[in-house]
Amino acid sequence: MRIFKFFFFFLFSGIYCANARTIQVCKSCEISNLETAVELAQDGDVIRIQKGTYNINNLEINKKIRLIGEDFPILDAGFKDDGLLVTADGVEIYSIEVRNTKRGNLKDFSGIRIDGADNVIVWGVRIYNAFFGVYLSNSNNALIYGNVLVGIAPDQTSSGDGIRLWKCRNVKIIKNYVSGHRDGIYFEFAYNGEIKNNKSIKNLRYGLHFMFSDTNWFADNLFTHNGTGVAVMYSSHITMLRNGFYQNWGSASYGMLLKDIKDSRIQQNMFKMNTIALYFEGSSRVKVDSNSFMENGWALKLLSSCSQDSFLTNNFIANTFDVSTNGTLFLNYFHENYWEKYTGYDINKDKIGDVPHRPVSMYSMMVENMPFVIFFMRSFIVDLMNKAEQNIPSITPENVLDSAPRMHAFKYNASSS
Amino acid sequence: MKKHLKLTLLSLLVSCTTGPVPIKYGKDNCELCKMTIMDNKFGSEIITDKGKVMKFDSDECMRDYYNKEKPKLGSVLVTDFNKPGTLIDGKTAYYIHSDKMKSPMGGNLGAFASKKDADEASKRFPGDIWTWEKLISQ
Repeated sequence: MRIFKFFFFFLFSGIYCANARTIQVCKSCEISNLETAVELAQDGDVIRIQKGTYNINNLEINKKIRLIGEDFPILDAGFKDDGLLVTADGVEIYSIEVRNTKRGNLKDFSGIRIDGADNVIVWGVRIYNAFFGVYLSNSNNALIYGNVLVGIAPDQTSSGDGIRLWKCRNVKIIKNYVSGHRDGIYFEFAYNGEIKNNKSIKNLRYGLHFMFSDTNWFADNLFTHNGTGVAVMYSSHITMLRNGFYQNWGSASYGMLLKDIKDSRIQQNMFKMNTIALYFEGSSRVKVDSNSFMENGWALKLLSSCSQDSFLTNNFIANTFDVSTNGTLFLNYFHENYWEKYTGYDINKDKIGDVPHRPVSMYSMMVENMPFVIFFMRSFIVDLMNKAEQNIPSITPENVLDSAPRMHAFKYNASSS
Repeated sequence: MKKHLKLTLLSLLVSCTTGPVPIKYGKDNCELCKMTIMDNKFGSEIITDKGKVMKFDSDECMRDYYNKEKPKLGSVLVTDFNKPGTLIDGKTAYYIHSDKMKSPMGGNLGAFASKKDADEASKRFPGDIWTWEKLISQ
């Protein structure tokens, strides 16, 4: 009886395999356009697209199929509408190139739009000159892996995001390259996401943007030359590990901007050459440890609306201003950081300075209140005032201090540069 | 001499007017949420009685700022959803609150110049239509 069952199992699995057909699409094939191929396909089929250029116009994939390109066939949306629209669960898209979606205010035209479909995989795909690149809405458990998204936004207002999530859960975004879009990666109402090893470069607004998206994790990403850096807003339980934030210059540019963030962790990141490396507003219970802040205008701007944030074992090296704040109320905690500007001594040789360090200088308080005094930067009178203030503090908030400053810099492996 | 005085007085008058200031999309930052104002369907503006201009990326940010700070209003301006980039009087505008309206800060709000426009748009964005008084009471 058991053998009989075994036999039946093979019999039916054989039938199933035979049913999963492969549909070839090429210019000289029997099927030469994608619409027909998708229409003919059934759940479980594979559509193989040979090299060439195919016109598509909001092509809906409403069956569980695999769409596989041979050597990047070009799917041209011809500036008419969306490129592909995925509405079925478990669709896989691999090795194709989508181009030229429509732009405009009517709707969020996208290269690949995934709407209400779970377990979708998009990998090894190139998307050029799309308004939005990959747009996921109401879709869970997607994997977006190893794609290249390059937007050619004519100006800042008529550009969309590279990878956009709206009301999604458990989405993994790994090893993508995003450039020339409005926001590189944008999470809105997206939970339990994982963003790893991506490069987000030269986007017009933010390299990465979170809005109302709790419990997300992003690590080992590189964010450089973005309009205003990375923004993490109105979210809680965000883990930020080993990312690199470089070269975000501008009057209101940030390495990372935190606004109303709770219970999060920022660890082992590298902030180098940003106007404001890390900006904190209305954030509490954030642990910032083992990061390096190098050659920034402001390493840390910590507004007095923040509380219970702790800054431990970070490096502050060659920044114009290490810490600045906007009031005298200060409810945060610094401990065992390395401050290049520290001028104390270490008599008992325990590698920890014997006098506390006050990272907020008088001059940085003045600049905060009167931006135009930046004119006197590095002048003798500023040095003199800072020295006097250091010895007899009167304007700087007294409780902003690191009671155990390190004498030597920590050596962290900087993330990809 | 008299001519100079007149000119000076005139320039003083000009600099004190509280007219609308165009929003520089992609450059200006929202007063409340600090984001760069990008979407020209949703930008809005508060001008105080003394002429201080505050710009916002969305109607919800403008409303939240208004309710939080209670500024003395000179005027309030919102973007006409049908004419991106055009500012209209926020007090006489009609606001659609609809899940389909994806405004920048998740407030689901869009402004329209007239009741007719709002009614027309509510076919595409089903939801409530609010006046200014209703908006700030939310």
